[in-house]
Amino acid sequence: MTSLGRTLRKLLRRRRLHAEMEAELAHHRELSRENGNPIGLGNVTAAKESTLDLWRFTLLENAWRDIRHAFRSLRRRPAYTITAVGSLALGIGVCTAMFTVLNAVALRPLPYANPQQLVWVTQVLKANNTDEITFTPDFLDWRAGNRTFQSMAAYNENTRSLTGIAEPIEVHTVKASAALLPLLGISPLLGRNLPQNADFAGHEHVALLSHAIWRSRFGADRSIVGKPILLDGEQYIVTGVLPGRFLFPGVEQVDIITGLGKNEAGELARDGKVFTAVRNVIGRLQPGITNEQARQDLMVIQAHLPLPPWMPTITIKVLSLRDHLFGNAKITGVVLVAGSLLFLLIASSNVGSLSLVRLMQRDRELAIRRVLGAARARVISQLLIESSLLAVFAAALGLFLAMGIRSLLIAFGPYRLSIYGNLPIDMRVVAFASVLLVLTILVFGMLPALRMSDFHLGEAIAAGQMSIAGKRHNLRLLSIVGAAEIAIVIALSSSAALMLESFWNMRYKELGFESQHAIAATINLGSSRYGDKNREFAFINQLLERAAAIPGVEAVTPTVASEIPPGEGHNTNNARIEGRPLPTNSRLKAIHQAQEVSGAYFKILRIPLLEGRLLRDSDTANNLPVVVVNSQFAKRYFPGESALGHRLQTGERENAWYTIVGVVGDVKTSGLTAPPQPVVYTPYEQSDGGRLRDLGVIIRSALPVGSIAPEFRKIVHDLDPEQPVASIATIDQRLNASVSRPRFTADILFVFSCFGVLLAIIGVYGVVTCRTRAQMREIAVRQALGAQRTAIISNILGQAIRLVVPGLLAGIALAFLGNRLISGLLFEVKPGDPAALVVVCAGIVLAALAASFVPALRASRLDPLVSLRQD
Amino acid sequence: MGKSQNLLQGTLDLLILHALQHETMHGYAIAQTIHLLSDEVLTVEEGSLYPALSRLELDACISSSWGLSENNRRAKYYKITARGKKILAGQQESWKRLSAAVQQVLAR
Repeated sequence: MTSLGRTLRKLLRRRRLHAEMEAELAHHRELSRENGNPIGLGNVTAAKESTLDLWRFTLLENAWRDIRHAFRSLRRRPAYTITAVGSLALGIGVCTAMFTVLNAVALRPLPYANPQQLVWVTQVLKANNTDEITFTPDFLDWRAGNRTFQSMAAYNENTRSLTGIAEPIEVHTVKASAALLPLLGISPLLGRNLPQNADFAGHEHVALLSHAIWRSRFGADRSIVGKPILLDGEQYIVTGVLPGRFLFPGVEQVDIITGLGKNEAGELARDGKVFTAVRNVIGRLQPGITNEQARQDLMVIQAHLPLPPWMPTITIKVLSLRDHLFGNAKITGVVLVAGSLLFLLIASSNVGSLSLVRLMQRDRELAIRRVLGAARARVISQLLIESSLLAVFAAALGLFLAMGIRSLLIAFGPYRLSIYGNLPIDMRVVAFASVLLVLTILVFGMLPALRMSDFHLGEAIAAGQMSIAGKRHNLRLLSIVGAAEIAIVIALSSSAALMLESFWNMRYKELGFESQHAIAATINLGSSRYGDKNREFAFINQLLERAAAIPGVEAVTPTVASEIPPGEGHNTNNARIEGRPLPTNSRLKAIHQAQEVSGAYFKILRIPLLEGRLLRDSDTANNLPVVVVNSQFAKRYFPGESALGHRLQTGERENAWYTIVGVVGDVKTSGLTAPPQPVVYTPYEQSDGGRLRDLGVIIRSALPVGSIAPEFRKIVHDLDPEQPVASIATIDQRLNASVSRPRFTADILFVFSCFGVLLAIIGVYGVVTCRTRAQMREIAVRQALGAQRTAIISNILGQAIRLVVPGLLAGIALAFLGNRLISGLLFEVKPGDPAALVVVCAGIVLAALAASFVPALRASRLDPLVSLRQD
Repeated sequence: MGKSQNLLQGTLDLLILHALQHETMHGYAIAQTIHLLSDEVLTVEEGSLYPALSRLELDACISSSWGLSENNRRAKYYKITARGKKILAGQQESWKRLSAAVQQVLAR
């Protein structure tokens, strides 16, 4: 150890030691000369070198020399270097980016105090269907009687209008127990948490502002605490402002938290007069208590509680908060990381075979160095240093790439991957990337280096065998790697092709309408001011009139916001058709979706009229009630006859008979993946209006949404300064948003498979080049014997095909397996769809042949004399 | 670092330590001393001398310091250490045994 210490010390003073040695030797020689002494004058350099050797400098100096040498030799072959660094960087980048996802959802601690104690609790109610919701009185009894929780809090999320500020907006709010924030270990930046009595009805008009809304809507006014704000027209007193780093433990970030305000005495009386539910219960367990113990504890309490009148069976679910928030995303993260690791492995072995090719091109240089006495260890270490240098460049580039991919994931990822709002790059991510770096060096650096080591170069030269990796079994191994790559890439690409086809069908096929130039706005007229039908219609009519007058607007129609294509959840109505007995079986009733629109609706969305007429502006409350139905409705309830002229009763106005005056084409309004349902379109002025409080307005205009939106908002503001516009977007944007998940999956698969194809091409190129190289002598002899260039090219291409075909067959088998796995995700695409597979296979075979054409051409251009003379 | 199994190398180390036994001297002086003490039979080349000195120094048998030589030039002076003296004693012992044994073989 001490001698190591001395060596290190001397290493640090290396330059001085060199100088001292020079001085000492000079002194010696001087004295020798002066004394005319025969002593000395041995080999001075050797003396120096062997002394330096003693100090262990050689090893490090060699390393430094090797690094410089490696750098030079990489620069001499830019094509190889760029390909290798590029594919490794891509591999490392993708892996690291995927890891940031996994890290955010599964590894990073939640940003609360002792997050491992936090759980999410719910009742699971089973009657006709299953519902995860907790009865308020039961929650109160749990909270009072449990022995396993430090504290429990409940909250419900809802959307409210924030008014009384410059511009009214829709805000995401939460009604929460006062205990929620203390339970999470969060204290406000300004002011105080909600007071305890805010849990009780009548005292809930207190609010905590999120840092974001405090800054954006209240100008970061520090004196806001104690002042009132207006939510849905009611006054709330601001008690505090939340810190900027606070993240609400839910899917959506929360703008304002208000008191829970439950009538606890009334709930606990359980007499049916007051009976509410809470959607979310969060608890902090006592130290050392498991989720199961907590569940048992609550079940004991639950067993003594009365059931509600419809007698559901009640069980209790206790999930750790992390699993509640990220359950699915965790699996996605693991799958993504595993998939990308596979890619990195392929990329590394690929670059390994590429560098083997390079090695063969340099075999003469290496052989000469070996013959000149370079130790085998030195040659191998030099190769390893080259690999490491490549890998380090690749890792650095890969990290940049990872940051790019990461911001794409944040921007386009439809999954709420993280409550952090972003995917942080922390020590864990950096450590992961470093491990990748080491793995990469091991996989692709060791491959050629090891091949070197089991081969005796001197003998190889003596035998005239001018290749290092020319052994048969090495070539076979290479070919297997190449074929395996092709197989994996075919499986992957065919999955990606199916996903893309599926996405395409979903998004563009048989929509039943045209989405161009259509803009949809939604307004929630929920507040009490529009409870009266006359006020509601007055608002709607004025809005329509003024919106139609915006320059560039061609047509305007009202509709129910939830029915705007592609639609969300639907309420269905039952219709009674005139002249038919009232069916008792609900399956036989004319179930349909109801839409309240104007005639312009069909023109704006270019929905075709099949029979009869469209709705007209004259179809008002004072005229004959009429409806238009879609072709589904006509087919299902009037098979074999025309629906026109029939009358039906629908909706809440049970007494009015509506005459069917037209049949229009089917439109996808139950989401893009569901088949069209029967629909009845009522003129909005003949409806009773209630559903239009969830108001949607569709505007046709060739102008971009950006120039319509401010005008539209201004109109709404002029009509009612307290009324916010919930959303305004083109129909295309709404359609894109509705398919963002399948699209994201398809995109990721597509990018992966492009990357895979690229790798496979590089792989085939590497393998074929290796083989050609090994057969150089044979080729030269054949050329000397008069073989044509074309014959040589086709011979090599033939070899490439022998490599590709087994890969192709294995790939097709694998593709069928893989496509079965994703069949659940596909829409109107059969997993065995031959078209996609044929396209993919043909593309990959062509690409592989193109890749092998390069070495084939090169081989055919060799001068046989030169190749033969090399021996 | 006990790798001086090699007879000649071991011998050189022994001779250097012996030369340094009573006084501190620089490299050239060590070579001279050995040369003179052997009645000019043994010649130590710098190619062997300096590596041996470095080795002995790394082995902590000798220590070195820079000083002025008799004719006012900077020179590196070597000095035997306690460890060096111990090793010298041991090596002298085994050398005696060895040379006696060789002598005996040759005498017969």
